[in-house]
Amino acid sequence: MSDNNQKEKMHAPGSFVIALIFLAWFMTVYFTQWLALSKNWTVY
Amino acid sequence: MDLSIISNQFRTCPTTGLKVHMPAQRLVWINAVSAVVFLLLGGVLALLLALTRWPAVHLLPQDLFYRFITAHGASMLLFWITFFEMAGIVFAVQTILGARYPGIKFAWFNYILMITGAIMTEVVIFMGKADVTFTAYPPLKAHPAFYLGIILFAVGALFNCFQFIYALVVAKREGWHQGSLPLFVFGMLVAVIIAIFTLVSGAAAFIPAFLWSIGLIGSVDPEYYRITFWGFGHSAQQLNLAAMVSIWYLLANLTTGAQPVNQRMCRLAFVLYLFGINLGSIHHNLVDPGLSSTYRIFNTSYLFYAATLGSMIHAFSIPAAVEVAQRKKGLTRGLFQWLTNAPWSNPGFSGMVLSLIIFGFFGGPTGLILSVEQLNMLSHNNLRVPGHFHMTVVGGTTLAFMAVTYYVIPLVLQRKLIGEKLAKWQPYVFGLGVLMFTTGMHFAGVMGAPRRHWDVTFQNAVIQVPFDPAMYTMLALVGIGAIMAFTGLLMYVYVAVMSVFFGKKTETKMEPYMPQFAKN
Repeated sequence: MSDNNQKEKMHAPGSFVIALIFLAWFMTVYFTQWLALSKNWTVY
Repeated sequence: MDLSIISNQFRTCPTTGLKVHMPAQRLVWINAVSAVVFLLLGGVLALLLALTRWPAVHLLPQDLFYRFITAHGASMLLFWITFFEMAGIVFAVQTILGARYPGIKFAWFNYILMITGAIMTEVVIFMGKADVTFTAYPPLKAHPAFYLGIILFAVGALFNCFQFIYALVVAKREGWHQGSLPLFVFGMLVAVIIAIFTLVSGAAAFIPAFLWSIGLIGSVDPEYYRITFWGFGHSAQQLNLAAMVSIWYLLANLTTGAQPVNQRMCRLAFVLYLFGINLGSIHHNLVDPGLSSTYRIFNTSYLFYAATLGSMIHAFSIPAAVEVAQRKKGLTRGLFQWLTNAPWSNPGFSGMVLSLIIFGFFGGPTGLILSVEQLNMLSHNNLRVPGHFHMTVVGGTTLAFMAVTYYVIPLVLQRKLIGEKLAKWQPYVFGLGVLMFTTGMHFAGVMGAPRRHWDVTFQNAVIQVPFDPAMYTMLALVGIGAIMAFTGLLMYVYVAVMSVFFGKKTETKMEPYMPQFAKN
């Protein structure tokens, strides 16, 4: 019974996974961009 | 106005059952058609510019490059998007809210102001009297008609914004509507409030520039102009954002029957836009002298992130709404059956999803990186910047506007679509093309390609600039992607124009309709 209730609480599990993929994507883009920019525009 | 006359001005949409106030229908038509004309003009110019960016082609001569980049910016960022949004706000009241649109003659007056201003601006640019690019930073000086055209256009749009708010007041007062506004209308209201700030800021930039161009004042302070211009230029993109997200909600509902899981949260996300987003404009001034570090960091970080939180809420809320609606239809297998079995051949749905992906996964993160002061120092004024805003404005806003057109034509303009097969493929061709050329711009910028420059590679410079060879590949990608995106644009224009002018007219069923919540 309690398991069923818990399942019902997650209305959109697929969207939740997409949101997690987005967060992982964002972190990757953010830090690789920082790295790429700093390498191409070196401050001497 | 006599209510008995107004009550006979409504028709019932046979598909949605919505009541449509007919006298405002021509307003939606004229604004939408004007928007598409400017989209086509801006698109042709975009192709020519992209082929100039591609060093192997380098199509345009120097003078035409700067002329066309000015006209492209004005056509796309100002005229295409604003005319479409004007159609959107009328549509929000006369169809979605089911209320009368008051002051039809005034709205036509506003349209005449806008179209006069737009034509005046375009003519002056093509005459070669305003090769100042879209930003027109002083001390670059254009012909007075350039500034006057933009001012006329902005005044017309501003009047329309006030009229929209007045229409909402009338809808409530006369009992056409009761309770909270539908989410789409609420989002458009947020867009209109941002638009008012935007247009006032634009007036603060362009009126002094106009006075300077006719010799009434001696100079315009460049820093003053840059701050007020970006209060206009960037905020205009924020109102696009609010309008685009509203359209996402509308399309999610029209294509899958999705209803937001938590409406209050969605409204809160729109309110976060209202309070957080405009100040993000200052990230254009991060490398300018005269502004304190505290001011820059506060405006580009702390308040800007409030708006980002709003976008994050929408980014989860819209897929979740679609997922819940799809699961109710029995598509419950695994995590993604609701997605794999979604109506991908419906251009309204595919356009919405592609717009969401290009905006959310590409445009958003690249913009947030630009809003960080240290990273902005590393990527300011290179091709990475237009790479970012083409992801948001073209891949996001324009694609969403295209997608909703496939519903506006049959439901509001009462014409059957011509070229439905073409329409099914259009979002994919356009979306993929945009993704290609924006990715090319983005990485070419990271490798040092400058923006707003006719000769990206500085071939004729006295001191040669060493570029990574990969940058040339990226610039070729800009050209190839632009050809593909332009093909998608032509497909859209063909379907829209043919349907609006030659599509079979659907039956109009006029039915008397009285305000449902009138007090007496």
